[in-house]
Amino acid sequence: MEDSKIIDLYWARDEAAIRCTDDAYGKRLHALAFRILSNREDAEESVSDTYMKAWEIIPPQRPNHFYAFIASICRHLSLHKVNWRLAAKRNAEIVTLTQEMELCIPDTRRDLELEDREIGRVLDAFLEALPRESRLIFLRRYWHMDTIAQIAARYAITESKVKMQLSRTRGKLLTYLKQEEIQV
Amino acid sequence: MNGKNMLSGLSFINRKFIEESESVPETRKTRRIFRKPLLIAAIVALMVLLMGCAVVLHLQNLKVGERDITRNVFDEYHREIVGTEPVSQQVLTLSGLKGSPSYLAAKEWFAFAQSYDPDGTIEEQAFQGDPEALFPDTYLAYSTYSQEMVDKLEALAEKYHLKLLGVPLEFQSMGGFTRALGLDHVLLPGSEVSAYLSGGECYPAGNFNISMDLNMPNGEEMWPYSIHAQLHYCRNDCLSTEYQYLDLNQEWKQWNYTTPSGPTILIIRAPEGEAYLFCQNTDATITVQFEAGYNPMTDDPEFVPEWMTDYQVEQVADAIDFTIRPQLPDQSASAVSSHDPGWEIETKQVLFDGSFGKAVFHLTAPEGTVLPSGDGEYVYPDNRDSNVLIPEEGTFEENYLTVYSEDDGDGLANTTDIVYFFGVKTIDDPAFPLDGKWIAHIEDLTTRHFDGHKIIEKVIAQGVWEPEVSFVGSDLRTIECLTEPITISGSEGKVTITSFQLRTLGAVITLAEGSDIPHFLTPTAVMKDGTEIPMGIGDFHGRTIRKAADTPIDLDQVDFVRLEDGTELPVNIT
Repeated sequence: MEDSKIIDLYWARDEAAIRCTDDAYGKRLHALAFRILSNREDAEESVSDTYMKAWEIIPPQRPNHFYAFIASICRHLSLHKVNWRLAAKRNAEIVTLTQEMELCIPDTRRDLELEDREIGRVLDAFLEALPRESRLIFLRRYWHMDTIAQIAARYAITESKVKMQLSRTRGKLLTYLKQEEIQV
Repeated sequence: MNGKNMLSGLSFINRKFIEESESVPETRKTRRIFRKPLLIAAIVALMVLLMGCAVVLHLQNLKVGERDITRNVFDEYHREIVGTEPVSQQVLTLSGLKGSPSYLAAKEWFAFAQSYDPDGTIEEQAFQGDPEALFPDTYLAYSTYSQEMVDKLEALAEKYHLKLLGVPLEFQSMGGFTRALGLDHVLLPGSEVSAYLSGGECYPAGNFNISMDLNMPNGEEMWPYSIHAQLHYCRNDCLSTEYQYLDLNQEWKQWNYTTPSGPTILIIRAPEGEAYLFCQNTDATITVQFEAGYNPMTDDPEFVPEWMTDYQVEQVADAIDFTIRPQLPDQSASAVSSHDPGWEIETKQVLFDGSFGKAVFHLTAPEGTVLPSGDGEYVYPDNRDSNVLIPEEGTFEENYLTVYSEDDGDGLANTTDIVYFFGVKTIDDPAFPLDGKWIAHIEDLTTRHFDGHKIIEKVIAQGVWEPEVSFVGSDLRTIECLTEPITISGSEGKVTITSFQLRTLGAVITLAEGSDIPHFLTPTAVMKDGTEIPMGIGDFHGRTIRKAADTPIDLDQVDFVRLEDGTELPVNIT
């Protein structure tokens, strides 16, 4: 079923909306949650929570990128389920990603707090300014949490090219956060 | 602030970026096992009017070489890589026709790049250094990573008398983007097709690309889905190293087509894949690329992709004005303080309760304009990166919630209300400039409606409106409905609430230490006359949940608040 029709079901408060969402995107959402949580049960719970949240906020929202909309919810909920104490054992990749993100934060901003939504807004402006290729690689790594090898394979480029692009983009993000004096 | 926060904050980026990273054309091939390479730019064939004589255009006019790569193979749902395959591709430039300086430079650069650093050693070393120093923005468009590459680039520019693209320009909005280019349209004037420009990149030397959503009018043989297209504008006097890679083993159909805008273009398409419209006019090469089909990535086993007919591809070509002549970008032209005549916006109502705010703006369009009614059709500001509410002094940090339009009840088709609903970052922040002057910065009015399979967005009025806004007189009363913590049950188990504050625009709910954020919490304010006001949408920060009321709540008229499990909370105004 098309996205717009699924959204229509949400607006009509028709519970078939959940089933149709699951039919259309359940496997992809589960894969996303599993990459973050490395635990099948937890991933299933995350996906289930995602549907509940979507039910809650559509309407009044009418997302024009429906998969991106529900995947964002799923990603957010999954990250909040991560047991960081055990993450190093269960899912070393997410620890690596966290460490890589640490490299982007200016020392002067480490003690300041910012809500997730505000960080998202800051990153929006940064991503908008990136060349498309850099943006895609950055998002595949830090949004979709793909491995370097997966990104290289996806775009048919060398792993070193991916690393170079990521390193460069992280450097730019660090500079951006410094220059903009964003309260991070 | 730490790495975890950054990773988590990424969940809230604009969804267009997520869509972009998901829906590159090759990811949509749900029924095919093999993934095509990333199509960053567009490309294809050519036409030229030279001394008044039409030249037959062919893909070969753009070809600068071939390459062999190893490509990943995905499972049927494109989630996991299950192997690799060797692929041969022809490489096309979109910078100019065979024999032109821009074509020759692109060809020479491709040959250089093919033989340079074959094992990636130089790249490997390069990324270990300081990216800012090693890869200055000046060469961002060329993905250089060594001085040798930069030298080669400079030498090619000099040899062929071409300009390098320069540092990408930044714009606050697509309105500013097009104003800087003096580009008032991309569709042929009078076309019934609608185009919504959703993003773009622009360089000082004049090259640019635009992402746009095209929607054909309804009718027999008309393509019924939205078309997500990229328009690339590569000036003849610029050095562009953007290439397009077409699989040699793929069937590519190509033909020349004379468009209503005048030029003859080359159309290239895969029967089940991308289509390219390629035109060379006197200033530049214009390429429009889009997926000629409807094939979203879905796991639905019943789903059958649909593909455009050649006629439908030509209809897209019919809509584009291939004679556009944008100016070199002038960033000073991107900022405007005026707006289209006859379109006026005034502040109608402002409400603020210390947590949520709601501003209603009354829009009046020129006589005869029919604005969306608000029932499935909306008009909203297309502010992109800039905030709507701006205080004259002090700062204001908001968590945007929603913007929509609704019927203003006056019976006129050319007026409507635009509602902007927001939450402040810090609840009851004493620094909130409550008594100060504010403006609402509204940029480029856009409509959105859903038409069958299509989401149609359209800028209906360009410019900037800045009506004054005042929060003076806001009802900041807070009614605490709990005298002690309560535990309620929902579909996800039990949750303990330690505080429930009712306000004019919603509720602020605090959970007990260690509680997970429940999704079932949708309180309802029950009024003395029996009407009910649900509090559904909202956000959460730590253990604090905010729920916005569907309509403002007259606190003096509330009887009680009912929670999800039926628990009734008394509302005592003291």
